[in-house]
Amino acid sequence: MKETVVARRYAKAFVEKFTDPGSLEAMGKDLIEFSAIFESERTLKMTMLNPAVPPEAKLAILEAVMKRMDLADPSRKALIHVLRKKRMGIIRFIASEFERISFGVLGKVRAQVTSAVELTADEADSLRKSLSEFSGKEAVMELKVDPSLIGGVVARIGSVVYDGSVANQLQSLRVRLN
Amino acid sequence: MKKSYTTALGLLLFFSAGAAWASGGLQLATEWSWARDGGRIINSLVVVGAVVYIVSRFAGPALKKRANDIRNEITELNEAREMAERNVADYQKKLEEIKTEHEKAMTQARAEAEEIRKRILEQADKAATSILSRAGDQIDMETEQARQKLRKETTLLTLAAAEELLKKNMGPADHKALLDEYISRMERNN
Repeated sequence: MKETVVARRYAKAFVEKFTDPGSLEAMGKDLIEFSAIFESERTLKMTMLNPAVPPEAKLAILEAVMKRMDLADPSRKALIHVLRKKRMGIIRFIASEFERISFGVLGKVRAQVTSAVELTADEADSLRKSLSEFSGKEAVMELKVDPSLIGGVVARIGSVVYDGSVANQLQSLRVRLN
Repeated sequence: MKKSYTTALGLLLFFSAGAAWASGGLQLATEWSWARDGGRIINSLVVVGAVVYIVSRFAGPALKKRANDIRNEITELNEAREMAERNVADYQKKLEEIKTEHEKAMTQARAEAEEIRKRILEQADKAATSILSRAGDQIDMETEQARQKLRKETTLLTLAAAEELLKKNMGPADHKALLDEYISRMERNN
């Protein structure tokens, strides 16, 4: 909870600083991508969070990673700021909050879509359009496949879930008949 | 009393014996002799007089006293008898009363016992009816529960079978149809 509050403050500051829509979108992607790498690479995370490692060394490592990822300038500045403020431990919260706030500014919404089988490009496009119309914002889909759904699709936009899966229908039947 | 009689008898025997001795015994006589027979008569009169005197002097009062005593005893006994009869009558009356009371108590006790018996029987009857009714309700409830359980199990088994069938038989066309249905439902809700 505390991390989210602090992360929201940082994300808001970044969104206010980089108001250009193109920068916001790119920065959102960069921060999400960086936070994913940071969380998955255990060595990188431990080094960056270790107080015994000098700040210069941490900065050098960060610079190297950013260069490798070919991050845009605003994203680099934002990550360096986070490092200097010793808030790298909550980078995933900052990235998530940044995306949420920037999506609000850009009129976009993130839709986590889970389907029983992989969707074709046309199917995904149709679904994206439908979700955009439904939410009133441009839906940015995050696709996942889960065969346990048996069939159909589950879309989550913010805290709202639109469940059209066969598994859910069977479960509803079970609950109703019980 | 006993002493007076003994004294009178002793005196009578003494004078009789003295008269007999004085007369010189009983001799067979064929001729009247004033000395002899007159003496005997006088002696007899003396003896009789003595006897009369003794009897009137001692035995009369004793006998009278004895008669009075007997009369008194009879009177006392009569009184005692009457009292005893009265007591007997009282006891009999009391006995009758007790008997009546006993009969009454027995009748009342029988009536109460009968009442209690009826009440117990009624209560037992009610309890039996209630138990039967409850048992009936319980049987109905358990039957309904068993029916519902069976229905539920059947439904769950059917659903499990349906799920397995769907998993096996869902093809690309089905997935496409489900997605189309999902999209059109979202459009309808929009």
